[in-house]
Amino acid sequence: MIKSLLKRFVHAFFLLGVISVIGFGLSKLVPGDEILDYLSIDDPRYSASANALEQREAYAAVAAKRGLNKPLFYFTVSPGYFPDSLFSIVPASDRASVSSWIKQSKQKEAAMIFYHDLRNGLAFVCPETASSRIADQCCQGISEIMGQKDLFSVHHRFIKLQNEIENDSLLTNQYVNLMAVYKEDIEALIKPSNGLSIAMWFPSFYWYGTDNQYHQWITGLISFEPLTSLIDGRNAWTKIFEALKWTLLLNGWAFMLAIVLGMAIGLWAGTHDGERLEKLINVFLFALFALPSFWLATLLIYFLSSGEWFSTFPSGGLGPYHSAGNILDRWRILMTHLTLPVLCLALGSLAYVSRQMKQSVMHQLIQPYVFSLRTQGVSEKTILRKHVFKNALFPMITLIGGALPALLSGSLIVEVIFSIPGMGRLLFSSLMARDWPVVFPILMMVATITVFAYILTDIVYKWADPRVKTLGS
Amino acid sequence: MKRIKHVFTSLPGWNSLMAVRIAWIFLFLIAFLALFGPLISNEKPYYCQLDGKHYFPLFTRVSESGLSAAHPNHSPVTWRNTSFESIWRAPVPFSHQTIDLKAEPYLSPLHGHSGEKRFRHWLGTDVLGRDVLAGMIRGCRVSLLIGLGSMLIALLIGIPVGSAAAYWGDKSWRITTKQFLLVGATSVLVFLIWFTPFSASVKILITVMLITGLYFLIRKRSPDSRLRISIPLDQLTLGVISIIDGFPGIFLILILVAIIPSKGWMVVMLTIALLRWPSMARYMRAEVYKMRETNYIKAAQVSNISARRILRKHIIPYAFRPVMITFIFGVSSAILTESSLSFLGIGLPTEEINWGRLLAQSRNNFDAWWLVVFPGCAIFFTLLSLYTIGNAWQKEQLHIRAKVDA
Repeated sequence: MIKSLLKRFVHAFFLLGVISVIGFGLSKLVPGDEILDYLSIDDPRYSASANALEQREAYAAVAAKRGLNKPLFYFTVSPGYFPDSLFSIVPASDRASVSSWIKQSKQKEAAMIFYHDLRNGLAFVCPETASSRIADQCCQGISEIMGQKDLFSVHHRFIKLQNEIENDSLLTNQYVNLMAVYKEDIEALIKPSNGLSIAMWFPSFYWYGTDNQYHQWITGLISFEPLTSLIDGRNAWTKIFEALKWTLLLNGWAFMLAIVLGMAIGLWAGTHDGERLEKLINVFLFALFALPSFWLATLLIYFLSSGEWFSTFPSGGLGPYHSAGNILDRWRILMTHLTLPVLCLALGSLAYVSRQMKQSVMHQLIQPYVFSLRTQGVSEKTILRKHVFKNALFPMITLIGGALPALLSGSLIVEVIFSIPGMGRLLFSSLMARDWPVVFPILMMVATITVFAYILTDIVYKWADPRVKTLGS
Repeated sequence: MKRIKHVFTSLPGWNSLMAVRIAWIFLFLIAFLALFGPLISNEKPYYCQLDGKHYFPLFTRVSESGLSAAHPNHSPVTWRNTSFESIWRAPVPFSHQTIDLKAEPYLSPLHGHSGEKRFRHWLGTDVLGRDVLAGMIRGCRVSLLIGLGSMLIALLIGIPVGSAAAYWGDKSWRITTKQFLLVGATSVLVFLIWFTPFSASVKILITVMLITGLYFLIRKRSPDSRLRISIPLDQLTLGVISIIDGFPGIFLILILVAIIPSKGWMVVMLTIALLRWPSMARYMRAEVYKMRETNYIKAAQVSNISARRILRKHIIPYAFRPVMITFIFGVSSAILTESSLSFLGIGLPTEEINWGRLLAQSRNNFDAWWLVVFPGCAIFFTLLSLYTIGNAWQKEQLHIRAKVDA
C-alpha cells in the first residue's frame, strides 16, 4: 500500500515537472516582450524618446531586477560557433542582431567584440547628445547599427555614419579612433573566415546550474513569491487568492447542491425505473444536460433580472457586499447575487450526477445480496438505506474526485456572464489584457490540483472499498 | 427509394425511438444548411438580366462594381436597388456579412418592418443591422466544421495511438541492441547536423538521407542478437495522455488561442483536437485491450497473421463502434467549446459570425430577445440531438453486448 502510494506520488511529481516545463515554455512563447511590459511598472519615467544608451540601461536594470537576463533553462545546446553568454545581451532586439551576425559570419569572438565596442561607443557618445550634434548623430547611428540583422546593412549604415560626421567641425580624435575601431571590427566580421575549426562542427552543451529563469520561476511559484501583475502592479498572488475565495464559494455551493439533489433524484429514479413520472423527469434531466450553461445564464438574466419580465435578482456582480455593515446584511446580499450563478452551475451537473447515481443504484438492485436480504424479510426501506445506498456511493467517489479540478476551472463562463470576481473571470480578463504573470500561476495551480485529485480519488476509493487492489496501475 | 430507406434504417438508433429520428433529421437539416449555406443565404442573386444581358452572379465572378462598369447608365448597380429586367434571388437575400442600411440595428422580427416582404428580416437584425437568419445559417457551417473537423483529427490521432498502445503493450515492441544503437546513432547524427554551419536546405537533405538509410538498415530483421530492448509503448502513451489531462481544458484552450498569433477556425479546430485526442485514445485503448484477450484474436495470432493485419482487419473495425459513441459526444463537446469561445469573443476573427457571437450580442441589449432565443436554441437542439443519438447508440451497444455475453 505505502509502496504503491509512494510510487504514485513520485509519478505525480514527475508529471508536474513536465507540466511545469510546458507551462514555462508557453509563458515564454507569448507575444510581446515581457521586459518592456515590466518597464512600464518598474520604471515609469522610461520613455521611448530617451536616447539609445538610457533606454538600454533602463532595460538592463529591469531585466536584472526581474532576473530576466539569466539563461532560460538549466542547459542549452547551441551550434559550436555560438557563444555561451548570448543570453546576457539584454534588449531582445540586440540579442537577435548579434545572433544573426554570428550565424552569417560564424565568428563568435569578432561579433561579441564588435557588440561590446558598440556598447562602449554608446556609453561614450550618448551622454553628450545634448551639447554636440556629432555626438547625437553618432548615438543614433550606433543604435541603428545595432538594429541591423544583415551584416551588409551593418556595413552600409556604418559607411553612412562615417560620411555624416566626416566634415563636421567638431570631429575630434576620439571620434576618428572610434570609427577606426568599428571599421576594423566590421572588416573582421565580413571577411570570409579561413576555415572553421573542428570544434565548431559540434554542438556545444552549456550547463548553467540553478541560476536560470525556469528555476527562478518554478521556485517562485512553489514558495508563492510575489509576482507583479502587469495591469495594476499589484501582487498577482493576492489577486488570485481573492478570486479563489469567490470561486470556491460559488462552485462549492453549486457542487453541494448538485451532489445532494442529484443523489436524491438518482436514488428515487433507480428504484422507480420505468414509471411515468420517472420517465418525465428523465427526459427533463436529459434536456438539462444538453443545455449550454452560457445560454441558461443568458436566459436567466433575461427573464429574471433584466426587467423585461421580472427583476427579482440582480443581474451580476456582488453588489454592495464590501460596504455592507453587519454579517446578516452581507449574507443577504451574497444570497441574492449568487443564486442565479449557482443555479446555472448546479443544473448542468445535477443531470450528470443523478444519471450516474441512477445507474449505480440499478446496478446494485440486481445484485444477489439484495435478493438474499429480501428473502430474509428485511424491509425494502432498510435494504435501500442501509445496503444499496452505501454501495451505490462508490462510483460517486470517482465522480467527485474527477470534479475537484472543476471547482477552480469549471465556472469560467458563468463568472464572466454574472461578473463574479472569481478565478475564471480573473483568468479571462488577464488573458484579454495580456497580463501573463497572473495567467500562468492560475494554470499551474489548477494543473497541480488536477494531478493530486487523481491520487486522492484513488486513496479514498481504496479506503472505502478495500477490495480494490491495484493502486498503481 | 428502398436504398434511401435502408440508409436511414441503418443509422444508429433510428428504429428505437421517435426522438432519435427527430434528432437525426435535425442534424441532417443542420448539415444541409452547412453544406448549401451560400446558396440559401446570399446577397448575390442566382441569375439576373440587365439590358438584355444574362448574368449568373452567384456562380461566376460577376460583382456589383463589374456590372456598374459594364452598364454605365445603371451605375451604380446594387443587387438590391437596381431595377433588373429579371432577377432570381437566393431564398434569404442577405449574406452573413451584409449590413442592411435600410433596416435599423436590433430590428425585432415581429415589428418595425417596412418595405418589401422579400427583404424582411425574418429573425431580426443584430447590432450592425446584419440579418440574424443569415448569421444562423453561417453558424451551422462554422459549428459543424469545427465540431466534426476537430473530432476527426482527434480520431485520426487517437485510434492508431490507442490501439497500438493496447495491442503491443509495454513488452511486444522489441528491437535488437544493434537496431537500438543504429537508431540512437542516427538521432545523434540528425541532432548534430542541425547545429552545423550548413545552409538549411543542405541540412534537410542530409536528414532525409540519414532517415531513409536507417529505414533500410532496420527493415531487415536480425534475429542474431540475444539482448533485446523493449519499448514501453503503453507507458509512453499513458504518460503523454496524463500530461495533457493534467491541464485544465478550457483554460488551456483559451491560453493557446490567445497565444497563437493567427486567428481562424483552423487554430480553434486544432486546439480542440489537441485536447480531445487523449479521450479517444483512452477509449480505443480500453476496447482493444479487452479484444486482445479474446480467442479469435489469439487464433489469428497463432495462425501467423501479421499484427498490422490483425489490427486493421479484425480489431479496429469492431472496436471502432463503441469509440464512435465517444466520437459523437466529443463532437457535441467540441461544438459547445467553440460556441463558448465565440461567446467570449476569442478565437475566430471578429468579422466571422456564428451562434456564439450572435448570442453574445444579446448581452449588450436585453431588449433583443431574438438574439437570445434563436442562436441559443440552435446550439441547444444541436447538442440535444447529438446526446440523444449518442445515448441511443450506447443503449444499442449495451444490448448487443448483453446478447453476446448471454
